[in-house]
Amino acid sequence: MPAGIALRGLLVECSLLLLLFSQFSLYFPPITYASSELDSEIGNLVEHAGELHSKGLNVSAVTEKLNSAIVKYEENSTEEARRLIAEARGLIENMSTIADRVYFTNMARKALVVAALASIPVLVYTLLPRAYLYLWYRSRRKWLVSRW
Amino acid sequence: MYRGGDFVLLDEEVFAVVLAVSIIASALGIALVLRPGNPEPFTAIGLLNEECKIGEYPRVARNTSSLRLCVYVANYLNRPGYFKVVYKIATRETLPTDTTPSPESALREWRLVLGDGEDEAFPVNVTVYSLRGETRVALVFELWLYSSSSREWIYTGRWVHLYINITV
Repeated sequence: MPAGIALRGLLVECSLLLLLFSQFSLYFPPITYASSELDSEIGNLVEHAGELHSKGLNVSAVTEKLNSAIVKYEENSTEEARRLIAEARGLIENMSTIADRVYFTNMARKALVVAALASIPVLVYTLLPRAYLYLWYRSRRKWLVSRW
Repeated sequence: MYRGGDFVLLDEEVFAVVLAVSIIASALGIALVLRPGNPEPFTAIGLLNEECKIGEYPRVARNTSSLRLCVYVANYLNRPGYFKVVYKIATRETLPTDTTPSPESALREWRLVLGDGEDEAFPVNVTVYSLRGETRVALVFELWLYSSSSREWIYTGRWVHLYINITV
């Protein structure tokens, strides 16, 4: 009789433990899976941010959001982390719409600077003698010329 | 100035020197404008003491105790990067190399995203213990970079270590 009670108690304990473990596993998925999912999402966003960076856009706001998302994830605030990742994705999408325009503006600005720099020797060659001559005569405009 | 029958206001030699200087300045300016961002992209990792300064590192620690250090990571890859710093305890035989990470198991990881030209130093608390009975162990910090094309972490070949004598 005591053996039967003990067996029954053991069964109840085992079922309780099983129930507890199943609840635990439902709420806490394997860390490796969640971590690799996070890595994949952040990795993709960083790659897109890299494309925008190569076109001359400032992506520091995106990296800040992603770092905040990593911190929240490490604090087990996965919902907050997902919200921050979504915000970073939104920023990237917004930046993508103006990326080409920024790129061409930057290229045009660079081309103008190069053209201006390349024209310096030409301007020196053509304008310097004239400018010097002009200043030379201007500085002597009140001079009187007389025969010795 | 009178020279060889011609009246020359601007000396030809002076003019040639001014012209040469302007050509050199122009070429230098164009090279600076058109130069690539960083011809040799690289990453860096450094180990600092608990005040995030170089020097005065701990030399001795009790077995299974915790140490406070600071890890410095820098990104000069010409693009943003997703990094992780992996902490391991190793012996002289299991230190990482420039091509292979340490075979010891990872004890902790810290992830961070750095923009191009950005760096960050962050404090870390690491557990220290005797490895396989060794009284002198190396605290190893490896730098890994996430590759979104292959969807995996790639060892950068950058690592730092600090030898610690373990006491009971």
